[in-house]
Amino acid sequence: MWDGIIVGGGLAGLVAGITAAERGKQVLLVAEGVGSLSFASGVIDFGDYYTLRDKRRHPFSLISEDQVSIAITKWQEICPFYKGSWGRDELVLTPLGETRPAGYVPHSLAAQPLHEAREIILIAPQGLKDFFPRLFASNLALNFPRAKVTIKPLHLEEFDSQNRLGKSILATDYARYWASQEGTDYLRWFLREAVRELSGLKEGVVVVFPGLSASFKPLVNDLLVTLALTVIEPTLFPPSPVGIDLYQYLRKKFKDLGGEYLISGKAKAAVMKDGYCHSIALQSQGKTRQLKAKSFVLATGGLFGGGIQVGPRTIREEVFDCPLFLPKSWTEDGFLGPQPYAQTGIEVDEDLHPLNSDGRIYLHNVYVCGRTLAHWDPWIDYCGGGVALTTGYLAGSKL
Amino acid sequence: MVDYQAEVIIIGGGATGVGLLRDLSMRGVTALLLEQGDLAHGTSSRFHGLLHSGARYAVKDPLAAAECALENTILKRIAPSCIVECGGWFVQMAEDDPEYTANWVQKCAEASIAVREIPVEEAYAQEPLLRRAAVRVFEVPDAAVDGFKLVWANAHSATAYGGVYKNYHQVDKLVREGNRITGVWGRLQRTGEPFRARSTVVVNSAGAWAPELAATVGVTLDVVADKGTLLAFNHRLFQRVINRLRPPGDGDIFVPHESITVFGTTSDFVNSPNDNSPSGAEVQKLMSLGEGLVPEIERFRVIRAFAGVRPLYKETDSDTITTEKGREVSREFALIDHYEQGVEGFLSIVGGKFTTYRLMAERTADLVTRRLGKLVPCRTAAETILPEISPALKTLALKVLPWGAASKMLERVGSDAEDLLREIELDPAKGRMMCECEMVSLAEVEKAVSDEDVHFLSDIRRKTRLGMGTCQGAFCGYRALPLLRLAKDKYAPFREELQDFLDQRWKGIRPVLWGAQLRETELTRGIYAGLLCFGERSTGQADRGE
Repeated sequence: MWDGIIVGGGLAGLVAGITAAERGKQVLLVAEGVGSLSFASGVIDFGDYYTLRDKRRHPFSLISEDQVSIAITKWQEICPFYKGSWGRDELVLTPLGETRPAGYVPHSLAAQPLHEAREIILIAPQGLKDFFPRLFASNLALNFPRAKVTIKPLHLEEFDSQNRLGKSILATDYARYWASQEGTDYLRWFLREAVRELSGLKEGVVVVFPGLSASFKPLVNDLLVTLALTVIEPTLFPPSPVGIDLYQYLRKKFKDLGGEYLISGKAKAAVMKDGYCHSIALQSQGKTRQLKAKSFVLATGGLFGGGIQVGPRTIREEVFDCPLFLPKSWTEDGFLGPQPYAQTGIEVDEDLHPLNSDGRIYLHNVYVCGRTLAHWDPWIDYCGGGVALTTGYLAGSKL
Repeated sequence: MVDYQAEVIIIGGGATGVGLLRDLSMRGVTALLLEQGDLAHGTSSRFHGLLHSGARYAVKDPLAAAECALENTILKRIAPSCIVECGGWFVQMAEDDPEYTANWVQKCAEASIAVREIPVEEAYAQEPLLRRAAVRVFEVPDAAVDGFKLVWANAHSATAYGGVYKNYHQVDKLVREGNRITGVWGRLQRTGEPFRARSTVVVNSAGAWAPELAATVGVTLDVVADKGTLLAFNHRLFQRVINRLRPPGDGDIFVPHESITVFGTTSDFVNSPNDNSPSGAEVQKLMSLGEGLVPEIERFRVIRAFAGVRPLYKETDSDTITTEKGREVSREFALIDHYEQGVEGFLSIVGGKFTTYRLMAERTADLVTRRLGKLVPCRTAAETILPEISPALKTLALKVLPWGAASKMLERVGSDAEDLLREIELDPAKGRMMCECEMVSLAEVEKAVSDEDVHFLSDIRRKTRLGMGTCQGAFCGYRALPLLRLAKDKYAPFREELQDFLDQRWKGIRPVLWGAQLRETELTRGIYAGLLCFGERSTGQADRGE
């Protein structure tokens, strides 16, 4: 019998797990796969919080500002290398070299120093997939007109055979190389060369280096500190090393705190009675097990994560069969504009209990968090990480 | 202002129009084809890609059936690289009328369509997804045809014979001098710049758009626009074409194409040929009907829905057509010389099927050459459309590209692939896959981007198949961006270009937004709205060009 079982290994589920485990609870986290964090940029956004909070039924409308503030403090304890402060936007580079405001970011992604730059050196790793150096450089030049932008190609013998075959190299492959001792040694030499080729002065020089994931790689991070050189990473087209590293970092944190982590298990068919859930069935490696717990957290990622399954004629929440909010119409014309279907999800009370359509609690010992919640759209509201983090924290503290 | 001149002007760049351009050019007639959008953007690419054996029409439409049967064998011979001879089955299910089957077998024999009965147990073994309620199964020489490829092949071949085609040339009206049509007025779609073209004969092969054109000189054409919606599945559900053996109706044809399957269709009269948006209701109807052949159809991922508008021709004595169903209108074609309506030098070729496009072109060219007094016989039934690919070229392709990518490139580009392959040989980076679903290399996309008749990301899609796979352009559209940027002044700023491309793809995804395709759509929105800030909350730092 567990104190809590968390279903879902994305940002919300992992934060819930870490929060509960820190409070000494016996928690099991079951995940179907590696989760959608590996697609993520690693940036935690809160969007226009005060506007979203006033939107009827938006997840932020259920959570007090104090709770949000506690969740952020918690986050900065879990990930001390995140930069950001409430009420002031950070800046990050998009994969095309444009800029966008951001909430809390791994410090190596914080792009504010570019405003002070006189020289920007854009590193162009050979064959890096879905990265367009010339396009990127021209956008940098547009956004930071005071700086001179130069492209410095980077060639690694390590990847020669792939280049010869005309294969692209993933940012995650580059990141893995930089994290090795050999890679860090090469990086030290390469960055010194880059500076020497310029004036030799580091002042006013900013290096934009895609795919380092320096915030998560101690060797790389230490090197940058020693070199006293400003190096900034852009967010990258998926798969992004920062998203994958964040996922691995949080998973390790959870395990180190004594949390039990079970991957490639599909939870379904919960046993429920009188408004309580007693156990869930977990299908893993061809076997089904019944797992009992006092409480449960549902963090299965909604429409994107797969926790809410949509068929041509049916729609269902997979684990607890929770009642769902369904919008009246499903789609709108402009693809990148608001889409009604994105509001689909579970309606909850202030304690994140799932609700029936009459507003009464559906299950008293289940807490819902993250993308599975109704009435929000991470891509339009720009608060995907923010909702996952705060509701994950809140759910974890209920266990 | 541009002023074109040719003996014959052809309006409409679908299969019939390009087929006619090739036919006339081979007969030594100077011909100019004008197309309002891109070649094959209309009905010629918006159908199930079925090369009919004729069997579907054997009972109701014997003439159309016989024409299909003959053209089926001709096209397999002259366009082998555009056709996959997968064969087809007609399946009679328990609830279908056995008398219809008996009649159908007889009518097929009369139309010289080869039919062979397959034991039901063998049918299940070969096509395991088939509903276990089959009564009789018959094999016919149906095949899968790539509409884009065949249209482009005709256009290339016509060009080699001196024919000229102009895409994005919108014809606004015909020029009438007395009783004669002497040319057309029009404008370029992109810039609005006017043009004129003069000729001795004008042929209207505008398909569903033909009545609008004829109306500009007061001629009425009895063509109705009949919308048919189709679904593209992300699987090869069957190894061959599967037809339901009953009177032709909705949702009774599955056609496998490479790694996908197209399933259709529906039939509804629409007011405008531009009304080609598939609706949610049509999709739901198809999914229900599909269960009649594949009980587990909901399990399979639908990539998108699309719709084409059939231009059906009906010689009317009455005006009953509005109350009739599209299925009841003949699939025969008609060649009309508007001489009878007091207009000289103006022909319309209407109705018919994709399968009979060559025959329609031949009959039209026969009449045109008679009017011009140039009696040269037709050679399109005898001469292969695309030259054979040499073994040396195949070897080169396999040397520089993986097997799948090599064969797909040769199929798409044909003998023109040599330059591209040499380029990749010199610089392997040019062989990188821009589109991983359809295996389109950087070199191939670069070539398409620089073609003078390519103006939009969607033109690149039609030429290379980039963006036709499961990601529906989310990844490969992004990869094409820097190329659009390099060919500057030619394309709109890429933010708008890409949004437009994604919106077009969205039209087909909206009605099938469930299952894995919904999750993929969320990823695409996450990338474009979230990561790249291309959505409504933009930072205002739009691409301003270099």
